[in-house]
Amino acid sequence: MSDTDKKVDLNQEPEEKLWAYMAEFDSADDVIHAAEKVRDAGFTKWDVHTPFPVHGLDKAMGVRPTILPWLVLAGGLTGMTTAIVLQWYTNMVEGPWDFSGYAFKISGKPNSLVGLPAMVPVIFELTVLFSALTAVFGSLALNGLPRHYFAAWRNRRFDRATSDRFCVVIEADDPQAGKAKALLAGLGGRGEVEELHDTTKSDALPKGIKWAIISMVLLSWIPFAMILRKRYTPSESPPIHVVPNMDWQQKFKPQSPSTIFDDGRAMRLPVAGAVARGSLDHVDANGHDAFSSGKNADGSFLQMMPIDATDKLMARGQRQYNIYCIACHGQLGEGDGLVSQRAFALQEANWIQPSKLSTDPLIHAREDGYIFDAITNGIRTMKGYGAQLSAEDRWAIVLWVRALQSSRLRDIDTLPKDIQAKLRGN
Amino acid sequence: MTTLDPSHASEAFKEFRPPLLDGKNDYKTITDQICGVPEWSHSETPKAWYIAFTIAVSMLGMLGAMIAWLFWMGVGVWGNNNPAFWGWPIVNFVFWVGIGHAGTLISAILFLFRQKWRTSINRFAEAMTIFAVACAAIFPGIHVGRPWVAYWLFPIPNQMDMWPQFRSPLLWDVFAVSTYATVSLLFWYLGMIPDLATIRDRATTPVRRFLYGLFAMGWNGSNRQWHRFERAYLLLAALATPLVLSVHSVVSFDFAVAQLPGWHTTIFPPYFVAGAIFSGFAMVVSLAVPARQFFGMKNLITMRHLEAMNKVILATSMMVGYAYLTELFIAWYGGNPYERFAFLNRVMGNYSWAYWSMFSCNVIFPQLFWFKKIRRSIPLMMIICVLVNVGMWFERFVITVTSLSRDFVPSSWGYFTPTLIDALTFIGSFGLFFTLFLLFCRWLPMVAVAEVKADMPRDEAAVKGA
Repeated sequence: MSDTDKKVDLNQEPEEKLWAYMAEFDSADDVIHAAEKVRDAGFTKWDVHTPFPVHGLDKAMGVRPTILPWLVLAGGLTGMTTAIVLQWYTNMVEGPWDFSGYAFKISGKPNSLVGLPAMVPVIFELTVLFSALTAVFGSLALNGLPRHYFAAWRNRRFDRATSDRFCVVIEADDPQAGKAKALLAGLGGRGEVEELHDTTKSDALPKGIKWAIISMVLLSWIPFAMILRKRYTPSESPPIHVVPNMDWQQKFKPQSPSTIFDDGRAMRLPVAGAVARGSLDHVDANGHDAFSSGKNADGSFLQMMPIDATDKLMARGQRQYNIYCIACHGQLGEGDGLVSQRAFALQEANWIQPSKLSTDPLIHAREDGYIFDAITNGIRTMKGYGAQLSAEDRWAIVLWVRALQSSRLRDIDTLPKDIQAKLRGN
Repeated sequence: MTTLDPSHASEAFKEFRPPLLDGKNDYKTITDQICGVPEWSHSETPKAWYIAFTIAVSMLGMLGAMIAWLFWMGVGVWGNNNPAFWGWPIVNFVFWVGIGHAGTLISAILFLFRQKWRTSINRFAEAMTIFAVACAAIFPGIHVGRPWVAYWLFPIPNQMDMWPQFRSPLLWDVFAVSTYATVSLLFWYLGMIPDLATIRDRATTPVRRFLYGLFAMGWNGSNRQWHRFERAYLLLAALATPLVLSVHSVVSFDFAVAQLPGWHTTIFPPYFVAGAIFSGFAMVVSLAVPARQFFGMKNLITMRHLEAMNKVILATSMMVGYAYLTELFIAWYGGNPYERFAFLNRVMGNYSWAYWSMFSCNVIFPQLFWFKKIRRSIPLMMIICVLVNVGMWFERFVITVTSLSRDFVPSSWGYFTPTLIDALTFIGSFGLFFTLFLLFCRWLPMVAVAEVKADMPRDEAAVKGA
């Protein structure tokens, strides 16, 4: 379009002007022959309008292959890169900045691009998605779509170009336009060669629509600007809870205040003189419980366990030891449980090896009450098991620990004769 | 160029390949026939359409009510409970996604294989795909428990620095299904642009001209446009082919990547894809038969088209049957006692009624399609295709529920019982599907006009008269 066309005075009545010549054909074969002739005559500004893609017409017209496949390749590679970067950033990178990723550690799988296989499905999908979007929107853009105006639509004969007619259109701008009408007339189309007219009225979008679009785009930024402003403005008021998510319930939480009771606490204390079940079973006349504390009234450890060492108790002790103690201290009490092995394998700096219960002479030499106390209240980095294990079970474990020690530290000559004989294999 | 084009076919060629359409058609009759439907006046529209549409919209309303009730009350209104936490919603999701595979298969894979008979059925098969995927997308969305935070499925930057876990098959599903929905929609729409332009150019009222013109986006049928259009269409077909195979593979990963006996099998991706194509084609036939009747498309969607689809159903039925037998064989041959139990339980346990419903509908009844008479009988093919879809629903039920209700530890075993809400939600999803499908048939070109014309014999189809 030349410059003079654009500077149209809108107040003037638009004028009709010649835009193109059109010849109409019945069949696809006819229009292919016609297109070959127009091509050979050297026209440049022309096109053929058909109701369906006519194979053979590209060659007849000399249409060069579109660059669309290359665009789609670029789109696909972009999608692939996007997927890799997205998954790497959101699942493997973490830092103190806004919108940081989150380094998931799942089943000990490598937290780096070595873990690529699990990323393949999303990489594949985004590659296809970006390629397809490029193919669709790229082909539309290359075709100049969407368009709201085409001069030939003003002619009713052209309507059938999308139904059952095949139209050759040569624009009046073509350098050889003078020869166009005669050439088209000689191609044997149906009816007269049609002169298609355009109007000098500007074919730009009406001004109102243009401004409406611009103002809608600008208005659409307002919510985002408001969100951004809120994000960086400190506020005293509580956060807005659109969905309550069971955050408020008709109940009191521990340590919370209450207006129901005089003392203003939601938690209730036991009534005065309340005693836990079973807690008085081993209390002596002076109110001391050596059985549950492992200590004498003066605070020293009991030398001997206050319970009969039976086979049954031994079995119970082995069982409880294998449930509660084995993980750190190991099956034979050598301080080599799986937790400890793993901690050393990971070179955990803060890990202290668990006591070698069966081979450490210092523990062997201590009172039964000392071991009982360590189980009950914990020692050094070990936590207490008083809450999980009954006093009887704790003494049972003490008995089992003593058995383990006997198996490693005791001199065989101190054993009864029949057991010595059995162990020596006689 | 022209030697390979069947539109220039020799007489000998025509003997082997009968014409794609029935009767005497030219470009104008084809245009009038297909574009005539959206131009129907109220009195021209068959009463059956109004009745069907009323029923479909009522069912859609029921779906809305069920979802509202679910959001108000919580997931407890469904039968999902320990140990079968994946109940009907997931079964329905896989069922609908599976149906959504035939459209893209017909438009993409058959296009690449130059199966020209696809042009009569690809448009509404694609439409069916999109509506089925829309139905499918509802179920995981309402299944998440707190649907108002369903957007957490997507990697949206947020102040919590919270991101999806990309090493989970459930997230792969989000990407696969949303990509598939997008690409199918674009494929469908791109192919429809020239046909919308045809309706625009025939329009007799300004409203119709404006609306169809808006969606035709200014298409003018120029050969330069066609050139890029065809290239884009070919590229989309090439992209959609691996995509359609990937989608149900990824859906099957939801199960196969888990450790549960009966789910943890490598055969799942191909087995699911075959099943998806199987159910999709059955759905296309069950829709095509009434559609060609009510909208007068019998000359375009001919008995040869239906027969070809029935052959695909027969082939995929045997693939699915082969997969069922392979599963059983591997459960025995693999020697894993849990796996063995899971499959014995499927075949003979308390869900055996579901297993044998599945097996007979999917493997036994479709064998009737070996007989040409049955392949070409409208009532019989309708019955078999509906049974296939029933069977494919049961397949997903069997996989999901039997495995979950009998896992490793007998103490956690249970029996799944659906609720009325489960059933009404599923029926309601058919309301959504048929509402969209009926609107599509009524207002959009249900057969690809330009594609049908491109495959007609050029000399016979030209309009020589006025």
